[in-house]
Amino acid sequence: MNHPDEDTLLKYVLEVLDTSDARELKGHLDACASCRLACDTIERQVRQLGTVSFPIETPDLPLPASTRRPYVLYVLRAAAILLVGFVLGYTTALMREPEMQVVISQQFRPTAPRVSVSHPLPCEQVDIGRHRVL
Amino acid sequence: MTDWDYLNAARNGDEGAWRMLFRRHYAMLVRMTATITGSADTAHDLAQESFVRLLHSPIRHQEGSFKAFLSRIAYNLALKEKRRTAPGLRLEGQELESDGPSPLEESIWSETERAIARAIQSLPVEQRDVFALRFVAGHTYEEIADMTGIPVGTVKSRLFYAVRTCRDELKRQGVFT
Ligand SMILES: [Zn+2]
Repeated sequence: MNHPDEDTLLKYVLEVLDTSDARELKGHLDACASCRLACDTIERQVRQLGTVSFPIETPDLPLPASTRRPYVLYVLRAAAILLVGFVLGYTTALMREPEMQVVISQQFRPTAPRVSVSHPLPCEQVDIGRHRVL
Repeated sequence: MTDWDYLNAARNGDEGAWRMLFRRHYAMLVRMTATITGSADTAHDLAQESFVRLLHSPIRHQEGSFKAFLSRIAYNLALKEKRRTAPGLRLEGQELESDGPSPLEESIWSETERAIARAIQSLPVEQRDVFALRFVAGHTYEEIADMTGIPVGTVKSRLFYAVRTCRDELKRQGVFT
């Protein structure tokens, strides 16, 4: 193998060469000191490119309170409970409608027949039939 | 305890586990998103946002690399941020030239590192993203292909051109021999 060019060495360092090419190059590097030196230089530079750093202060970010139970979930859950309650109440009301009519009419049952004050009648003559339960 | 265990504990309100994850991965996220967005301030915001999202992200299986999972969240946020701050198409190689050193460069103390940062920042966006994912976040080529949705071969060639461009520029400046 001839001495590889810089691009090939760079590809080797970046591990983007085909396996067979990489193997062949490795064989050459084992035998050629000048290429090995060039390869080491490239390797060092690549490492340098990847380690540029600037001061990073890790902030003290507290665990978000919403972690335990997100607020949105609370609202949604409350809405769901209200909805279920409404639906249950409504269907129950529909199912019990006839019974409730009786209750209502019983509530409005007159307690006593209306009697004209100006023309008092004997008890027997009061028409209680008009005031019967609906 | 693995990072996944710490995450589960944090999700159950364990403040210590939360801090542990922060200590382990925060700096990496900031470096990666700073490389992608070019702004250290934005990078801190994105890193913190990533952690918050981490708590609520649905995770189907906790067997893969936690770091890859977290950095994928940060990468997606960084992409969104880039699109938000630089709308419109930008073709490869058409990065905006800045007049002076960016705040990110100014925060780097060493002159050599500053030159390196400038060279990385002047790479085409597509190359810079792959560079950040490979060298800063330490992803494999396969992981990068998966995250970016580009073929592995393209990932490799973008990284190769990114490094070659940086080396050429730094050699031209006399920073690299
Ligand atoms: Zn040689």
